[in-house]
Amino acid sequence: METVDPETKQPTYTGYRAIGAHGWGILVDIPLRVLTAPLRETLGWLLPITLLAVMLGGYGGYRWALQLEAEKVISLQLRAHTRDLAALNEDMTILNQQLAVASDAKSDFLASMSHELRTPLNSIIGFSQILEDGLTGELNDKQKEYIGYVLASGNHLLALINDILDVAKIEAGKAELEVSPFPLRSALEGAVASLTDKAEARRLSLTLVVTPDADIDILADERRFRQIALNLLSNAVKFTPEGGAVTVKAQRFAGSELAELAAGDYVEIAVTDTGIGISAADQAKLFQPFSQLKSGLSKNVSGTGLGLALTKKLVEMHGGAIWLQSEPGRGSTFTFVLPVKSLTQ
Amino acid sequence: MKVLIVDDNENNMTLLRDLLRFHGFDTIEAKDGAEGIAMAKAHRPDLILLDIQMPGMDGVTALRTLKAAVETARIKIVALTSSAMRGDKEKFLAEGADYYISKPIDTRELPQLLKQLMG
Repeated sequence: METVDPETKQPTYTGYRAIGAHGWGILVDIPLRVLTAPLRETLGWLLPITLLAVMLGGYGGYRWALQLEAEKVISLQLRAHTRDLAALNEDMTILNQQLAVASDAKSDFLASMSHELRTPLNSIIGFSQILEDGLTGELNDKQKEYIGYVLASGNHLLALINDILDVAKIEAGKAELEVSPFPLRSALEGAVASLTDKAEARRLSLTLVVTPDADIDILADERRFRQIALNLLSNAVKFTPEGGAVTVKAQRFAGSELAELAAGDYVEIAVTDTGIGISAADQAKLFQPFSQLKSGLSKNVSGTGLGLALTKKLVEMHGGAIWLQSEPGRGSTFTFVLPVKSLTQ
Repeated sequence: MKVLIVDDNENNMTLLRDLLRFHGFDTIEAKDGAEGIAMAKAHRPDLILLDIQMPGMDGVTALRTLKAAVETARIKIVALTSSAMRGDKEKFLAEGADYYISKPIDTRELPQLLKQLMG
């Protein structure tokens, strides 16, 4: 039965209040606020916790959904990447094939260049030689002089073509070394002997020193080795003023002395001259193609401009290294080292 | 001493023909491999100077044919090439050439070389 609480004017409800431990009790009027107190108290802490739980749950679910979405995106991306990689792989295969074709084309181009350039040279050099040799009748002095120029220019052009083709072949990876064992001393003696006349004409002393431990057979491409030695020697002879000295010294060298070299035994060949020397600035560009230096004696000296660039490539193809020390006015030393790989010690 | 010159280039032909004539050789000429083989069979030269790079029948095919035919197998053949690629020499010698020269030819050495080869 509903009554009204005289204090609060709020409705009261009849309730049962237990007294003692035996189920006895009395009926009392309980005001609404007392009746609802436990509920309000409970709601007081339950609500924030529920809210918090709902929020956390919602957030977790959101994260979970996000993660699912992310995983989906990642798996899609992975699949796309895999596809891309496969496509890239295919591209690489095609590119490789194209490169091989390009390399072959370059090789074919070099061969036909060589043919096309030599054919007219055959006429230029051949007919000049016939005229110079007087096979068609005696020439007058001017004719002899001029035909001499034609012949010299033809030979210079031929040397240029040979060097250019050599460099191009090496760069195209088409140059192969023909490696065989040969005695270092006799190869150097050969190079020195072929320059004796030029050295004598300029009153230069030309000396070869081979230390006993370097008097061995080395495993290298003998023709290329002679080309390297001859290039350095003829440069030394060319750039040394009359009365000077050119020395070739061969000795052993340890690969560990130079960071760029693989460990092991090397022979070192140093060509020293008392020539005009090379400034530090010029030294840096010396091994570049067509970097003939525009100083001093070099104006009187002709070359292909490819000699040292080619020499460096040939040395490096052998697994060796080349460098120079020079001071203007005091001479230069060009040094190259080659791995020994010797069969006899 | 009769030399057959096989070369498609007119200037080269003039150079080789005149050079050899100046040095006392008899010369006959052909402009490609097929003509060269016919000339070799008809005239039986002592030696053939054979350019390798020619249009039509190339020199290597002509070289093989000449060395395979009974009538021409014994004729000395000097292969002439202007490519001077490494390995060419071995290739032409393996095909049966008796000697190999890369262009440009040295007009001072060639006559001596031919005399030596013809013994």
